[in-house]
Amino acid sequence: MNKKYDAIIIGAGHNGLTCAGYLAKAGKKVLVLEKRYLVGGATVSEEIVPGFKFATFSYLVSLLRSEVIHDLELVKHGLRMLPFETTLDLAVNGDSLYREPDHYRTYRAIARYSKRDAEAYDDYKLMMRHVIHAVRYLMHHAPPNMDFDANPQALIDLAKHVGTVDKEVLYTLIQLLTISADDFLSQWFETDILKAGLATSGMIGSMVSPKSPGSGLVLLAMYMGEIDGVYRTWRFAKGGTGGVANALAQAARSFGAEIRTNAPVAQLMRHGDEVRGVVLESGEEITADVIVSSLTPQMTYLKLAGEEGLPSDLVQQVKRWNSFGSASKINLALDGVPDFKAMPGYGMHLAGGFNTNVSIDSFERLYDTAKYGDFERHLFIDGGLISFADPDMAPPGKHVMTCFVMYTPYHLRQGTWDERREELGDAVVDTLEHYIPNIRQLIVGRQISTPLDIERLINMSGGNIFQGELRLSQMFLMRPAAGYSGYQTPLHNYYICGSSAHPSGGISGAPGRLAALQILADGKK
Amino acid sequence: MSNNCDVIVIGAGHNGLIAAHALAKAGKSVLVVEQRGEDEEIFPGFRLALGADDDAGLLRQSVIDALGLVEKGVAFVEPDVTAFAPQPNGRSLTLHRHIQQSIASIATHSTHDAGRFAAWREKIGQLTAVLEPHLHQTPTLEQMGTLLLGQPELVRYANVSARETLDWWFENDALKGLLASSSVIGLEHGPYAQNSGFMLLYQYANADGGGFRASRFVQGGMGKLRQAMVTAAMGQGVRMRGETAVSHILLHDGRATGVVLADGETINAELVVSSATPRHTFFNLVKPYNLEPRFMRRVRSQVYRGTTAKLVLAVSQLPEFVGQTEAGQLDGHIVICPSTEYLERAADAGKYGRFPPKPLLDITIATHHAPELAPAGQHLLNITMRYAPYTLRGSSWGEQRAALAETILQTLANYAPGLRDTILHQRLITPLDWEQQFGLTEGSLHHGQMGLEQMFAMRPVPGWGQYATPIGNLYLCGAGAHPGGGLTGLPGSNAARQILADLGA
Repeated sequence: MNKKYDAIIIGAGHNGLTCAGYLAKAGKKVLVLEKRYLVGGATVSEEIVPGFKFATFSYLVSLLRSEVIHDLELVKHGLRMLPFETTLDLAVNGDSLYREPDHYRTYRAIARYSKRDAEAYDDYKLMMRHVIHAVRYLMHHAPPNMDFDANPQALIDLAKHVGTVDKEVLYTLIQLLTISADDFLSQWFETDILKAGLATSGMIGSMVSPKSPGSGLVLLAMYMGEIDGVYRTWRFAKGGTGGVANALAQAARSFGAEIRTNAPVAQLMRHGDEVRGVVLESGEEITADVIVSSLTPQMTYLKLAGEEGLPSDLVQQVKRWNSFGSASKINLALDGVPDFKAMPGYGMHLAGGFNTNVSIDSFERLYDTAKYGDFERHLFIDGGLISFADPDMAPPGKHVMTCFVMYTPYHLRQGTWDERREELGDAVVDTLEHYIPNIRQLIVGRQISTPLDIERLINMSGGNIFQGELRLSQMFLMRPAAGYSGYQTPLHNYYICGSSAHPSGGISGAPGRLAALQILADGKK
Repeated sequence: MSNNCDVIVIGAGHNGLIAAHALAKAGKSVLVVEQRGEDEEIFPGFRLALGADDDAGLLRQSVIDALGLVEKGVAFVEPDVTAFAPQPNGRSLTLHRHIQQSIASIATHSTHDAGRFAAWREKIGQLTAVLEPHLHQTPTLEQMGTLLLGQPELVRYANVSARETLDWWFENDALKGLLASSSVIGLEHGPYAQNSGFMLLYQYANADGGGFRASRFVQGGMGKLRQAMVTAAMGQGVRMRGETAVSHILLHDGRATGVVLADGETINAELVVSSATPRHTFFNLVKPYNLEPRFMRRVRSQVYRGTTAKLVLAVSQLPEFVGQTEAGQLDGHIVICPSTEYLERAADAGKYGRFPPKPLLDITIATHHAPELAPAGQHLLNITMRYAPYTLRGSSWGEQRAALAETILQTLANYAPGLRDTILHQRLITPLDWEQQFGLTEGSLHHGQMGLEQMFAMRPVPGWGQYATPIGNLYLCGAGAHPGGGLTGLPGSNAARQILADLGA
């Protein structure tokens, strides 16, 4: 027997859950369908090695919108943020740069390389603050309808906002949309390890290098984070990023939403251009007034809906949607405390992040190898010991290390990821050993997720962690397709709410929230 | 006679001449000062305008009309073959001015691609038509906003890599390589880089028909075009002083009041218009201490990084290339670029301060449309090579010149086996030579890289895209200003129009 819902959300990632929370809070009867055994999508924590909890995919929180935390009462439902405040950049030649919250210590660390850069660091951060302040307007607003007559207010508001932005800031913002991270940073800095360390934000999850045009935009997107109004702050979530998903799920449930795991959706139930429900892979049919997909455009349109009846320009854009991943995720269970060659012994650095192989040239070489379909043995790893921030993630005295690894292309020229998965794991351990001599003897277990695994396990087409490359022509009015950038789709009652919608990826909840607001507004008409 | 005038134009390149012509036509007394002399005899019996490419295809009709170039004897040659691409496997691909012939040649490589070529040309034509009016305007933030928000398809094609857009359309490496060779002009990046799609569009402006860019040459050589421009300018009363180097721009209360020449002579003017590169203009002619620090940082950060070298060969007979079936195939561009990956790998080398063992070569035979440049039966090959980085790591151009020339000749030998034996003379121009002999900062032929981040209102630097500068009465009119390099004539004509508007004329 079918049960009638107001809304079905496909996918229990953070955006699906956020959307569900908002709809349920507004009194809608909501069902969330998740194909895996647990909620979270890319924000999950799993006990793969007994006693050790891994943040399987994403591992840091920064972009989560304060209004989502507030509206959905996430703190009440268990959300806790833990400090993650230091960055240790490690170069292959033994150079290192340790940046920490203390302004003067960081100043001195940079000044060891260049006094000019130490001075410029404040200028740079101030400029980025202004830029982010200008652009975060977009995080709160759906892309405007470009048909001025249809909705003049959104365009007027946008123009007004742009009018308030200082010209110098506006030009810097526009520059960031197309420039390379290296060219952008070189306006302030000359020190390679500092530029490269900062440029990592322009590489994250994307098939661009510091010298590639477009890495400036990724840098901008990764800078938009804030915690409690403080920009550019990163945090661990208590319990890993799964802790965020669990809080979101609890919040949604508290408002009456129903969440079903192990319930993969096979396709939509369509009647012409109208979507009436979903068919699960089990054959079960469930109807609802509104169906919301949190998946990639390829899944949303080509697989679930099917091409038939979709506008041809949309289908073409979806087929050309670039979502090829460059990142893999390796989690390590450790029997003790890693000892960094650059900073031996205990210290605050253990509770922060570290980057390996940090130099512009190294990153370029990794990217060059990846763009021809292979990966290097000495990789870029953005790592951290989650268990230092949250001891509950590992047994006493033991630790989990999260390793975000680049550049590992989705398309391999030789072999497949199934054949080469362990080779990647070995390369990561080899790389780590260069900086952490005792790492090998500490490892008691590891989990490797290649771009192919990310695609298979959580339906991220192409393995891109943002559900689509962050680039000018895939943002804002063009995310996920020009002419289809709101949360509505050309099919009646069918909506999108995932990272492939504006304002894109990262654990922000923003697309989920904006989609819910759109659905609620449409329901009132 | 007073040497004072209303306007001094620094540099008698095409943009300087075009601006001077327009300003004089509006009634200004204009003096153009140029460091270099006339085009030279490069080898005994051979002449060539070294600073220019042979292809004048980007020159806009509005500029040709404004200067009356056709009336002054400029004739354009439009060969049937626009591009000929010999392949490593001994085959070749030929693009023609007439699309059906191009399609026939493509069909010998891929029927799939042959079936799509006409639609691709139409799409590129539509998008360049959208872009074109914006290249004729003084750029503004509003203009960029309009394009960004209102022209999603143009933005998509401009923002993707050339490789990606060519992969949308085609499957054949030879075709994609040949087309991609246009996408990296003026860039240090390869065709895998985002925004290289933009350069592909830029280079196809003015191109009608079924070929390779506009591929239009000047009868008698580029020197003829320059002479006609000089004649046009002088016809409006413009005075010209060649072999006259400017030492610096005279400033009074932050405003330009004239120039001081290298020999110490002072020339006063109400306006100074520079067609030199922005960095040369601000750092050498104005001096950094006269600039506001934020502006100085912008100028310092402007990216040049020239990657183009040129090898001119005088040969005793026409070369014969692999895959060549008729002489006419050598009338347009001869392009060595068998795939996008070949091109990307060449760019990789440049990134690390080396030149690639297998470079991109774009060859034109100047004597085809200008036989008078060489003794009868002999020819000039104008070979443009990428990527030769301005800054070599661990070496210098003094040490590497011979090796670069050898690399180019070796590459050529694979495609034109007998060529080496016919060489009478050769002359190499490295990026450093472009800077030292032609005043092109860091050897950037386009007066600053043509990346999307340095185009429109961002050119030459963010906030100063309207030809005016922070120095009062000092304007830019060269390729460093919108819409950039390539022989379009647009920076010069746009700047003149803006200057006259600013003067309230």
